[in-house]
Parts: sequence; C-alpha cells; structure tokens
Amino acid sequence: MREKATTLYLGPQHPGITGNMMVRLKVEGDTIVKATTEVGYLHRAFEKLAEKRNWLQTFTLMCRFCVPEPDPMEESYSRAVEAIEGRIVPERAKYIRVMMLELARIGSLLLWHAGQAGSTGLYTVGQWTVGDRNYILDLFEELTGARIYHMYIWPGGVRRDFPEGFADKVLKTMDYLEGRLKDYDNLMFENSIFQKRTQGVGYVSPKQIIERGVVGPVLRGAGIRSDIRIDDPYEVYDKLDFKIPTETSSDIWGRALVRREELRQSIRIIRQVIEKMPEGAIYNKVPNPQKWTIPPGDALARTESSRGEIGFYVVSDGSNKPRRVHLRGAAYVHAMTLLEDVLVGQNISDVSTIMNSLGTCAPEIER
Amino acid sequence: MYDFTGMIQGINNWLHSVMPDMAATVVGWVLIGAIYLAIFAVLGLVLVLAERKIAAFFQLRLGPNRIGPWGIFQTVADAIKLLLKEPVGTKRADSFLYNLAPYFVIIGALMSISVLPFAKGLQAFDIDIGLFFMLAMSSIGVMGILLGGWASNNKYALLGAMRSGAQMISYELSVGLSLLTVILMAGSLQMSEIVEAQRDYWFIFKGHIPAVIAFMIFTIAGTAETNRTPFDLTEAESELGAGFHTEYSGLKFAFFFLSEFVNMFIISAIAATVFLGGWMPLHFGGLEGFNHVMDYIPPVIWFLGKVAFMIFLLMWFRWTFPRLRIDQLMKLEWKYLLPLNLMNILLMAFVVLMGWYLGS
Amino acid sequence: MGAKIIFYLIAGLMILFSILSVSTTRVIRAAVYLLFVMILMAGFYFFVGYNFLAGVQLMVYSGGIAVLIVIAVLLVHNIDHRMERIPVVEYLWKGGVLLAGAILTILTINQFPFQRIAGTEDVSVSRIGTKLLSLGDGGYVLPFEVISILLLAVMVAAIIIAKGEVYKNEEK
Repeated sequence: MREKATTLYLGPQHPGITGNMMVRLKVEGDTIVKATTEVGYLHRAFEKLAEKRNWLQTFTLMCRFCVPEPDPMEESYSRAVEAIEGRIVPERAKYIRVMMLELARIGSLLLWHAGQAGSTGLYTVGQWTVGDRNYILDLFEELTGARIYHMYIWPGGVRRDFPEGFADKVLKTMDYLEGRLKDYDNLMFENSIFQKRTQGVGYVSPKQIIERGVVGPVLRGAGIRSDIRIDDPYEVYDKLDFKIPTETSSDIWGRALVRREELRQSIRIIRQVIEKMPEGAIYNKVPNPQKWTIPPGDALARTESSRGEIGFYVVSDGSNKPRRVHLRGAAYVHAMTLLEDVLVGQNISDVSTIMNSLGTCAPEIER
Repeated sequence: MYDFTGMIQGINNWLHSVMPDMAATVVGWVLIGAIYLAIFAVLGLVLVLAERKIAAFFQLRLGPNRIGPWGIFQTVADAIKLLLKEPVGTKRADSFLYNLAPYFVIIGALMSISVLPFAKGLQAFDIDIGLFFMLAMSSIGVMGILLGGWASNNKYALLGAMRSGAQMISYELSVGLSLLTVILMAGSLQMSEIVEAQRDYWFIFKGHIPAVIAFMIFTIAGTAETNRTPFDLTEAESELGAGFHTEYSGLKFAFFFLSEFVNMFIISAIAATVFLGGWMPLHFGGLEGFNHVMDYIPPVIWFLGKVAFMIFLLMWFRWTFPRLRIDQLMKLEWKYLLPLNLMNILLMAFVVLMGWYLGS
Repeated sequence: MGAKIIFYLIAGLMILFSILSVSTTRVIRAAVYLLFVMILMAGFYFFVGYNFLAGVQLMVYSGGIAVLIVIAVLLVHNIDHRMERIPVVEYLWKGGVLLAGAILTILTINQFPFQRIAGTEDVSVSRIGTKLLSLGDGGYVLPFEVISILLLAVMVAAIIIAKGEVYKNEEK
C-alpha cells in the first residue's frame, strides 16, 4: 500500500535534539523522502558583536559559541590573534592549554554518550555520564573559577597557574574515569539492542564526505585518518604520543566506536601532559589590555574539537577591535547540510540518533 | 495451612444472616469491588514510587526523597497534582470516545486482577477459564489505546496509537502461546488449580528446559504487551510526541498512566502464578522437612514476593536496554518469538507425554 | 428474581446498543457500540454458565474482530466525515417491518415444544477440549483440521495481498 507523503516537524523544541533547530521531514509511511533543516533560533550575532569589542573583550564571547565544549573556541581564537601579532606563548602555557582542550573533549564526549544513548532510549547512560562529567567540571571550577564558560585561555597564554595539588587531582580524576569506562562498555557498547539500532544506520557515503567537507569523527568513522592534531600540529601535540582511531563502516556504530576510543586517548594525553609539563611562566603579558592594538593582517587557526575541525579566521585592521571574526564550525556542515542528505531513506525513529551521531550543536551552527 | 476459604465463607454467611438475600449479594459485590479498587490505588501508589526509586538507584542518584521519608508520599503528591490539572480543551475528533478510552484500559486492568489468587481461597473470581479470561481482558485494553489515539484529533497520537495497537495484538500471541506451554503441565485453565498443581515443584523447575524457554519468551512478550522499554517506541520522549496519550491531561492521563503500572503488575502476577508457583511456597518433591518449614511463611507473602521480583526484573529491563525500532520489534515477534514458541509447545507436549518432568 | 433483573438488564442494553450502532452517523462510534453488544453477549454466556464460550466471545469477538474493525475504519481517510442522517419516517416504517418480522419469528419458534431437561450439561473446558480432538462419535477433529488449513491459506493470502506492490516491483 502506497501511503501519501505527509510533513512532520521535528523541533525546534524537542527532547531528542540538542539545542533548538527545526527539521522539516517529508515522510511516506515511516521512511523520510526529504528533509529540510531550519536554523536561526539561537543566533546571537557573536561574530558581529566581536567587531564592536576590543580584542580582550572579544575573548569572553568566544567561549559561548558552544556549550558542551567551550575551550577549543577560546584556544582557536587566541592562536589566531597570536599568529597575527606574532606573540610567543610560553611552554608551560601550551601544556596547560592542551590539558584544558583534552579535558573539554572528555566532557563533551561524556555528554555525547548521554545524547547518543538517550536518543535510543537508554537514559541510564546519560545519568551516569552527566554525573561523571561533574568531576571534570569540578576540576575546571578549581582551576578557572567557572564550570562551563571558563574564559581561561587568552591571547598570550592562560590566566591562572595550577593551584596547590591540582596536578594530583587531575590524575585522580583520570583514574576514576578510566574505571568507569568498563561500565559504559557493558551498558552501552556491548548492548546488542544498541548495536542493532546503530549498525547500518546513518550511512555517509564517500561522495558526500568530499562534497560537503566532512570532518572529525564522521570522517574518521568512514576510514579516513585525518585529525588536525597530527595533520597540522598546534600547541604541543607534536610532542605527545596518541592514537587516531578510525573505523570503516561509516554508520552510527562506527562513529560511536571512534568516539569511544578518542575518550581513552584523551585520558592518555592528559596523563602525558601532567608528566611532561615544565615549570615557567604561563602568560606573555599584553602591555595595556584596554588599548591593545594588533598590526593589520589575518590568520586562520584550526583546532580539533570533539565534533571535528573548527577554525577561527580573524582579520585585524590595526585597531583595538577585530575587523572580522569568523568561526567555521563542524556542526554547520554536519547538522545542517549533511543531515539533509543523510536523512533521506532513513526511518523517522532514527532521526534523533543520526543527529546525535553527526554532532549536532545548534549554538555552534548559528553563532 | 493458611486457608482463607473458611474466612470468606464466614463473612458471606454473616452478610446473608443480617440482610435479605438480594441485598446481601449486592453488598458482597460492592465490598469486593471496593477492596479491589483500593488494591488498584495502592498498587499505583507503590509501583510509581518504586519505579522512580529503582530508576534512581540504577542511575547512581537518589530519586524522590523530599516528600516523606524516602519520598513515600511522592505519588500522593503526584496524584493530587494530576487531579487538579486543568483539562486542556482542543477540538476533539469525537468527545464521547475521547472520554471513554481511558475507561477501557482501567476496566481491562481491574477485571484481570480479579482472577488472581492471592492465597488459598483468597480470590475474587475463581472461574474455570481463569487464565483465558485474563488474556481476553488484556485484548480489550487495546481498544482503549486505539480509540484514545484517534479521538485526540492529533496526527502523532493516531500514529502512536496504531503502532501501539499493532504491537500489542502481535505480542498477545506470544503471551498466550508461552502460557499454553506451561498449562500443558497443569491440565487446567483455572487459576487456583494451576497453583495447586505446583504443590510439589514450581512449573519453572518442573518443566526444566521448555518451561525456562517459555518463561523467557513470556517475559519478553509481557514487556511488549505493557508497552515498556525496550518496546515503548510509541511513548518515547525522543520520538514524535508522547504517543496515544499526548492529548490527555489530568485525571484521564492518570488513568492511562496508572493502568500501565497495573498492567505491569498483572504480567508479573501471571508470571508468578504460572511459572513461579503463585502463593505456593517453595517445595521440593521429596524434602518433607524443608517443605514444612517453607509452609510457615504466609502465602500472601510468597505471592507478593514473587510478584515483586518479577516487577523488579521488568524495571531493570527498562533502565538497561535502549528501544527497538518498530520494524525490529515486529520482526522479533513474527520471525523469532512465534516460531520459537510453537517449537517449544511441541517440545513441552513431548516432555509431558513421556513423563520427563520432575515429580511425574 | 435477581436472575430476571440481570437478564432484562443485559437484554435491554444489548437492544439499545444495537439500535445505536445502526443509527449513529459516525462510523467509529458504530464500531464501538458493536463492541459493547459483543461484550454483552459474553455477559449472556456467563449468565447462562457457559464460561468457555464467554471467554472465546471476549477474546475473539471483542478483542479480535472489534479491534480489526476499528483498525480498518481508522485506515480510511475521511472518517470524521459524518454519514447521512436517516429521516424519522424511514425509521418508523423500517422499524415497523422489523418488528413485524420479529414477532412472526418468535411466534413460529414458540410452536416448537421446548423441553426443560433436568440438570445441566457438563460444559467444562476439559470436556470441550476432549470432544474437539476426539476421533470417535461426535468428535470434531476433522472440522478442526480443515479450519486450521483454511486459516493458514487465509493468512498467506492476506500477506500476499498486503505486500502486493513489492512482489510486482520485484518481478519487473
């Protein structure tokens, strides 16, 4: 029996989507024939706001692009500004930055666990990972004073040095997290129903990867070993030893395995960072922050966030305010244009799972 | 040794002695009805709280702990809230059916618990087709879901209702067949006789392999019957709307919500009665001393304990497994469970015929 | 006395719901009233003491066929479209004809000398089951097997009809 096509609207408020965006689905029976995304519910005009604030004020905006993982934004922006000015960052600051990036990556991946499992109905994983993420947020709170938006990494270095005993706390938290990983395996990854829901679903073809410019775990889930941390090393990643996981199935399950392994690698990186961190200054002090000007020029800084490659393109015209700040986010491609292609032919029950797997972050799409 | 038939008979006689025949019968009915309504209400209260607490403990958190010690008055607060909620009025496709739908599920649930034996003689309706009657009542509950979804005048509610209905009528097959497997050993559909037949061993021990397989199939199919995870696609939050009861609020939603928990109780009670021996204490064929010790524990405690175990199992499933998609769900039933069930019945029939069961 | 009240109650409700089922303008309500009539039939069987048949009535008719009818009606697209109202005059003369027919039938049936037998037949489930599968005198095993084959054929046919287009597409 041929059923006629109806239009269903997913969002903008929906428990299965992270953030607010709408997906208009044309369905026949249970299968999607056409998907159209509609974004704009979270546009906060950050890129325009950046042009009205001076360089140091802008850095407080940059972390607010993305909620689960604000640190790559800060770091990328700072590196772009440092590249234009030619500012040198002290070694210790670089190591601390790497540690912050990896901690943010772990936090974001823990939240991804919650979303991926929650969209298939396994809410217990979400409760566990959000609880474990709290320990990381505690670390952030002790180091930077804030749990979510840190405003810690700024052009020239970082703002505060480690408090007394902080390195031990970090290592203890890493040990605790490693102990929890076995439970997540048992509950989520070895769960045959979860495997059935995710294998063969949400396939991204090689053609789509090239056409759309896919990055991050989606790319690595398709078998291509590409990661900015090794392709174009920044900070001190060239001095650290870690693996880049890849899978070949290019479906939700493959991407889930990639992210699972990345969590373990991040823990490994943090341990190395704590071990290898030198003593020294943490900040190459900016002379007069309120009147700080940067010579004209532009720079692009690329960072690997947990969703993929993000890039900050910063243009300076010699004044104390940025001329243009542009964020190229991974979610913009994955969750807006790639999603429309991937959803065709899928079941409506899988929309939420696919969106989680591609790394939807509505705030990042709309800035 | 705990026999309630005498007590029930005594109350009956006393009623007949103080008022004319007709009135005594009617008063008896009203009394039994009131008791079962009270059981229904208490079940709802306890099970909702248990679900929340057990979910919390699985998820490494505390659960309701503000209202009353260990949150025991939480459900009362929820009930009061539901009663005071404003009934949101939108244009219904059919108001009469919209109002009628919750009653189908409630009445189905109430009729089902009326045939459960809580102890020897403590049973409201000991009919000779007891088990069959319970299954028939759950079929009537499907009607309430279909009507509720349609009458809400909501595309998603209708979608959810149709799927839910299809799922329930598919899994009714497996439920019936798996119970049939074990009835082969009892030789009767009457609930009290099924329990009596487990005097020497519970059926799950008596029937070893086929009975264990039937138990597993029954648990899976029973979870699907009650629309619980991993089969709760129709009510899932991350899907489109809340399924067939999207448009219900207040008291009517409370009915749907409660009946889901009572259905869970019914499935657990059927499993406890048919597989785990009902109110029969744990007996092993030859060990007279052991059996005598087991007899001291009151049968109501045995029954409620077994039901509690089954309910805990069902709740455990809910918080450990993700959801199956609707096509995977249907495939599971028609391609795997149904053939498995049929083969199992053959196996059990063979076992019973050859006398290869415990205590034969 | 009490039996009479129950009988009249069940019969009266049955007649009421039957009339409602044929006279209502909304299709789904007609299906629901039909469901009530079937449940009342089961009530009748319980009243008479024929428990097994009552259970079968509940399971097959109310729980199966009524659900089937409702699902079939739900799949029709314009169901909130009301059916036409029947004028009262038509009701009256059609009702009159029905009543005349009913009276004629009842009078004819009453001619038969019905006899009350002492005691009741044993209609327990075990007896029904044995009779259903017995090869001897009054056994029903042949109709049982024939009906099983018929059901199998019906199910296969239903699957083929439902998947019709898929098979056509596969042949291309």
